[in-house]
Amino acid sequence: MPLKKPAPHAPPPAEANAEMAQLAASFVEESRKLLEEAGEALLALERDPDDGQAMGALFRAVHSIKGAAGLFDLPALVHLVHAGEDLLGAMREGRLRMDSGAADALFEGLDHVGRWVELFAAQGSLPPELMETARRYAAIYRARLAGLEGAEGAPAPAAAAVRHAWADAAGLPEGAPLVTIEYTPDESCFFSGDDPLRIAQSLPGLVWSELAPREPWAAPEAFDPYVCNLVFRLVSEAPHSEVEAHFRYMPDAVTIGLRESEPAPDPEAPKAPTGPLSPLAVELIEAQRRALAEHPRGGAHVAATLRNVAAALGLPVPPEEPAAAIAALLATAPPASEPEPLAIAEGSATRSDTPAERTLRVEQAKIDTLMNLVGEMVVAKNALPFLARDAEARFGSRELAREIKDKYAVIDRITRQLQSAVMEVRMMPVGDLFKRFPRLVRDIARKQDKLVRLEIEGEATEADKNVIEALAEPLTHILRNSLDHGIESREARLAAGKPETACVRLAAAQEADRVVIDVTDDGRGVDPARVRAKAIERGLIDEARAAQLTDAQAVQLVFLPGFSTAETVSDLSGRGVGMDAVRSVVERLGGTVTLESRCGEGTHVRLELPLSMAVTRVLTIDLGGQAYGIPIDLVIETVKVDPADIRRLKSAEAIVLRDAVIPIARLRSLLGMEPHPAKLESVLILRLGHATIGLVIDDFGTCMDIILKPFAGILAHMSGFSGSAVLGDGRVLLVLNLKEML
Amino acid sequence: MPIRYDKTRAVVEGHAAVEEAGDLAAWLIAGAARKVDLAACTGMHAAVLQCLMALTPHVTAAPQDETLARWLAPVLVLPEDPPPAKPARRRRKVAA
Repeated sequence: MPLKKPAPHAPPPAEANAEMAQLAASFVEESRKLLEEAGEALLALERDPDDGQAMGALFRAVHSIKGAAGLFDLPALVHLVHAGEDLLGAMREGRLRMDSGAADALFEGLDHVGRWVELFAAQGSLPPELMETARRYAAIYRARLAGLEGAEGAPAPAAAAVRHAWADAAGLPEGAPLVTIEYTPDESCFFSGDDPLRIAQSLPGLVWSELAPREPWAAPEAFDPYVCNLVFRLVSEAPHSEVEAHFRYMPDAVTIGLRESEPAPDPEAPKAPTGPLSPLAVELIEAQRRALAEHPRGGAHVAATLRNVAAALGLPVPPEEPAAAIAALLATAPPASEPEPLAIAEGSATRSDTPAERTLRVEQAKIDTLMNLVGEMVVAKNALPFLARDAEARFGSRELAREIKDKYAVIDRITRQLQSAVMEVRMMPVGDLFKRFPRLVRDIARKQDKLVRLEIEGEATEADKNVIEALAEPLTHILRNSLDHGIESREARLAAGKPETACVRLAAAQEADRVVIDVTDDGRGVDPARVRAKAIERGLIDEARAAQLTDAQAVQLVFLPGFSTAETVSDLSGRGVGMDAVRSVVERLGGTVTLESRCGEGTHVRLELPLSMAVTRVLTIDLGGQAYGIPIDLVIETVKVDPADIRRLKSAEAIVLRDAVIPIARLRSLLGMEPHPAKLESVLILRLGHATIGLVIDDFGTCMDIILKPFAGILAHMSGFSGSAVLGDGRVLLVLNLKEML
Repeated sequence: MPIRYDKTRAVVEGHAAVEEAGDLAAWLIAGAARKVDLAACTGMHAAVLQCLMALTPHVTAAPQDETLARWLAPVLVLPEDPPPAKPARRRRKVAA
């Protein structure tokens, strides 16, 4: 099969090119979504092979990917998906059962398709050698099918069991095997652009037909012309597989039977020439027809599509005129069918009338731009009070100052609303993130031969997209740790009197302005003694200190950089980056991570994160005439202290505040500035993790909301600061990262 | 416009698409004696066919298109067979 023929491209108009690019973009987007759905459905199926709904969803998703892929020059992708679809089709009809082997093969296939879609998105084409991979998987799928059907192409024995009683009464000619079809179109099929009559008329090898109402016609007043009430009984002399291919889009609506009898073509019946097309081609063209019907102006793509289809099938490249080419390819139909794609587009115009979900897909970059603009708007708006002050102080116009303030109030209100609207757009449910974990847990559990049930709760909890996305890595780490180290082997679980199937719970909830994610497992928990030993062995802590730690504190040692309890480095976790990486990501997002463990009973990891990172509330402080910001959630209180009350304990300083000794640090010395003696020291009491600490500064400022911008470019690696913000008067506020400094 | 409506006769020309079905049904229901001329009809959507099957209007001319005529003959009363012209005016529950 030639992969791709250098199609003689007539220079297409620029508009068509742009349209094609748009189509490609939406294909990529859609395929990603469909692949996700397919993955979910496959997981559900693996758990319960009788889940008809999941089967349907999986089949539909795979089928849609194939249909859409036909628009582009992606022979490998189409080939692979087609083979997968055949396998799924057999499973759906109950001829084959889903087992974990088949699920593995299908999962791998889906992964390949996912990679290829990304490749296509990046490069606009796929390297031809991928066809090899596609063939390999197709062979795997076909082998499973072949085990079922015997020889390739042989009629399925199960299908032969369907016998239509009417076929015996129809006075059919005896002879070679005939395929009997009972086609009952879905009641609402007119709304999805189907024309059952044309589908019936274009059946390959049609030798006999009968048409009847499914139920007696309603009274004329109650008659609804758009509820399909027809049933078609058809007999074809084409091979079973070809007939099945013809009705592939409405498998629920047809039953296909086999009748062994002598043929003598009925002269009365419409006779259709059997087309030279393989079932795959018929199907692809049908997919194209549908795709065209969805794009009323789709005529422009027809030529390109046809070339691709033909190239994928190794057929001669069709002529340039799309209408003629389609007509030639669909020539299996009797002349009553619509020969032109444009007519088809008209025929399904009602499609757009069906109510559709009113959502808009927007690229994230556009929302980010909007968010940035809103941020700048906030900054620009904050300049107005300064302007008002200037108007009064420098130009002596109190009236002007008042008017500016009035306008400021209006702009301020609008900006706030704008900001919250944009933030709302950026919110997304954590469910989108959680979706990927069932597959992860399944794969790891299978690899380690453990039985694990993943329970997910609170998928609807919403948080900023950036927060959700940044959480993917840490949560993956945590889950991997749980499965790898936490969950015991099946034997160990049974020996410990636990159920064989372990349970990992992933729950999200909103608490005030924070989102809380809990990962709980019922595994062996973290062994404090082992953690202590390991930490000492790795030189992270000395023996004396390790002995002082309580068990709960010892468990926290897993967060230290370079800590790993795994005896061997597995490909799952245990590279010594796990929990340390989790903590650093979560803290960068302004969140906290806590770990509780009960030895033998399980581990509980809790992530707490701000709902949105867009606006940060900071307390400004003054230091040597420069303003700095400190995240307000760290600040417990502000106090002024007489320098004489600061006690020196060797090199460390501390104050006593309400009978508690609080160690203090001087920001000036931390930043390498000259000491600045003051009559009263201004001390910020901060909470960092579980420690309370005092920070001596020059003076306190005010609280304000800022849009924190992380440093970029050459400043990106500057430590001690988490970012900067522009103040209303144009000054730059540096926001301190105290966790890093202290 | 594939369907042209006279006073008591609808003339179907070319291919009658799915959108026509609503109008045709409404028009046929509005008057019991209304007729349909299919002579120039080359094809019809299943929804249109349904209208003709359910509301059984008198068909004054069969399609000249042979394939279509062959498909319609068993389910509609086409004028080539003169006797069923009368019963066609009555609405039958099930088409033959």
